[in-house]
Amino acid sequence: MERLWPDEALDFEAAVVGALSRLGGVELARRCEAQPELRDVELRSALSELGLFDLDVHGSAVEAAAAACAMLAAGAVACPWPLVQQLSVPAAIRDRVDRVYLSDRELGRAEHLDLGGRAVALDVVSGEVRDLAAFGSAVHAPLDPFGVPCELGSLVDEELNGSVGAHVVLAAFWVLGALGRARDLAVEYAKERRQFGTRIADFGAIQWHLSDLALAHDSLWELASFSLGRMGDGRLLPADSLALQLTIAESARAVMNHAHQVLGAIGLCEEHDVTLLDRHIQPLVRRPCGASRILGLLVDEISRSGFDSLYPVDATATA
Amino acid sequence: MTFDDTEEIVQLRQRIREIITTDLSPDFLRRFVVDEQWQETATMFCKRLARERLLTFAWPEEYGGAGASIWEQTALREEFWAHHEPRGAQYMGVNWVGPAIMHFGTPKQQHQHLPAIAAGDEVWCQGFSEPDAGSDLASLKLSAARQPDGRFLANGQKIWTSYAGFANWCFLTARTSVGSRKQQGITVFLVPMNRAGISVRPIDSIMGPNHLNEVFFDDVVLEPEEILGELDMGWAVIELVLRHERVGIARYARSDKILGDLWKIVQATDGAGASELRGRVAQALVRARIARLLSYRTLASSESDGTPPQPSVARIASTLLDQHVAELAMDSVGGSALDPDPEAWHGGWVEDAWRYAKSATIASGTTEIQRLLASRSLVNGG
Repeated sequence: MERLWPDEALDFEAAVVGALSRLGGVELARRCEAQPELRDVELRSALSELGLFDLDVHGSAVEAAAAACAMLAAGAVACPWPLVQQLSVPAAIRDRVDRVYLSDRELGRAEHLDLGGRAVALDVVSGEVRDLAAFGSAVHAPLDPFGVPCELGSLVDEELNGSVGAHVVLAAFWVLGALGRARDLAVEYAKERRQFGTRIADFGAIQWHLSDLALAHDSLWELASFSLGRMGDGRLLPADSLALQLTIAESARAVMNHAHQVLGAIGLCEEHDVTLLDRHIQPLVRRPCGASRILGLLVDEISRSGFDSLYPVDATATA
Repeated sequence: MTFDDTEEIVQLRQRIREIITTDLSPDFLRRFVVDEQWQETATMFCKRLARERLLTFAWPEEYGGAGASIWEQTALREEFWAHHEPRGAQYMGVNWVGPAIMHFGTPKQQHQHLPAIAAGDEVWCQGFSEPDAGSDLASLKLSAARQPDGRFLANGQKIWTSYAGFANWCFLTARTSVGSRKQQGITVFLVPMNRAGISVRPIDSIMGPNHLNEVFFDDVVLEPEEILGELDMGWAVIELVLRHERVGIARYARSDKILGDLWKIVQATDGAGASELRGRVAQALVRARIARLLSYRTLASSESDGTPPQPSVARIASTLLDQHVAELAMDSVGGSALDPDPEAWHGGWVEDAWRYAKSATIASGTTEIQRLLASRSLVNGG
């Protein structure tokens, strides 16, 4: 069992953290939310210079790990660029397709669709690939800050093998970046904030919130790392992707709720990073479908193909 | 990055499953009963394991073990727990009594106990908890007062002592002096359970008879050579034991196995609620995978630098999963789950699993303590 992250991937993460920090960190997300045109001006060249756009998650294990590490760094500051959608495109067709979005029969809005380039939608059930076009101009929404109304176009003949899995794994690490930052902010606050003459970290109720937060965060971390390993081996099955997608939704809800509860009213303010991170991860958490629908799809997939475990579930066996 | 079993471990799992299938009746494997017949089966099974050098698989070769890697040990723990721990009480002797004796024991103690544990001849019980010292173990009061002849006289009570009725030996923690801190003045003794003055009273519980016991010590004479480690310095021994126990039982392994059976049951179910049940089982399968991965994280860190990290998150995941799956099994099977008859539908294992899972969040450190430790780890680091 090999669980260590390659040094090259960790070095790359440090480079991305440094570059995003120089651009203002979370403040960049705030600026771009107010003035979306800043994304092109401030971000595109910086991300390109890092070599981020050239990463092939289906290339070597090191490249896949580097991409995951970059997502962590980007998620921690709500980087306003559709990196998940961009890196999910197989390297072989990047000359024709710039971004891939997951859809579930339909797709009403898509993040950063106004940045230009060719976008396609990949249906998570049928596997169909369709052109995706903006439908009107971007309308700001608190939980979908860079969402653009869109419509599915005609079927296109593009091979997007492995793109669903890549999208879900990259999204998991992006969300983990945000959840890790929310956790750190909640812990910092619990250590500093004093009530009734003592720091609130010493209250049992706060300790329970923190431990449940850690459980939710670490659960997603472990499953995302496992899925990344399987993706590298070419063994990430549809049921594995759905299991990860479900855990993204559950862990995001739990971590953010516990963090908000520890932080109290201050964590609800727009000037606080937890509120911004909570809002900005919602498109990756909620699209293309909610947790109940994902669970339904997982049931269908287990019925069809089973589920790998210590005692694997046999799809065909019944009591 | 890979999380898969090596080929050697795949083969080890097959070997263990073959031994289990060959040596144990399906009846044994369905239920977690603790009675004399069950104990006899467990003893015979352990002797078979001892012959195959699988009982003390993890021990260094110099003590009769096989020097197994941490991942081989994990596969062993998973397979046994998934099959209702057929080693019975022996797992305590093997998992932590033996290692503690290797670390702190005198050559005489090592010679006396290690071969016997390795052969499957000794059953140990853990004399830790007392009526007023549960999670707060260092508050234990059972006294071992030094006598003029150098021996000690033990008086007091232990409680919740698993397997005390079957055990030959007790790993006894006693207060031998009062220090400035409650962790000081504790001594560990290795005491034969047939010593005059020791009496065991079984406590019937929801898990069934013999799981829990009270053990009374009335003027029990303890010899100085029965001390493990140093007089008054027993907390160091206890800390080592707790480190061995920290990873905890591989509860997720049995949950995984139960969920495989449950999936078959819910697939054959139709009508109202069937779809929801399938969803809940699917969700639990994901939770079981996560609980296993969290446990592997603890083990991997332990392997890399020898120091287990804070394992509480993994334990919380595993124990809550245990109860969640047991409840799900009861819900899936419905009223017929209440029949404990091994001949009944599903062999009565569902109600057995449900009753036993009640202890998951209490035994070996309550969930409350685990949450406290997980939180402290976040706040204080480490």
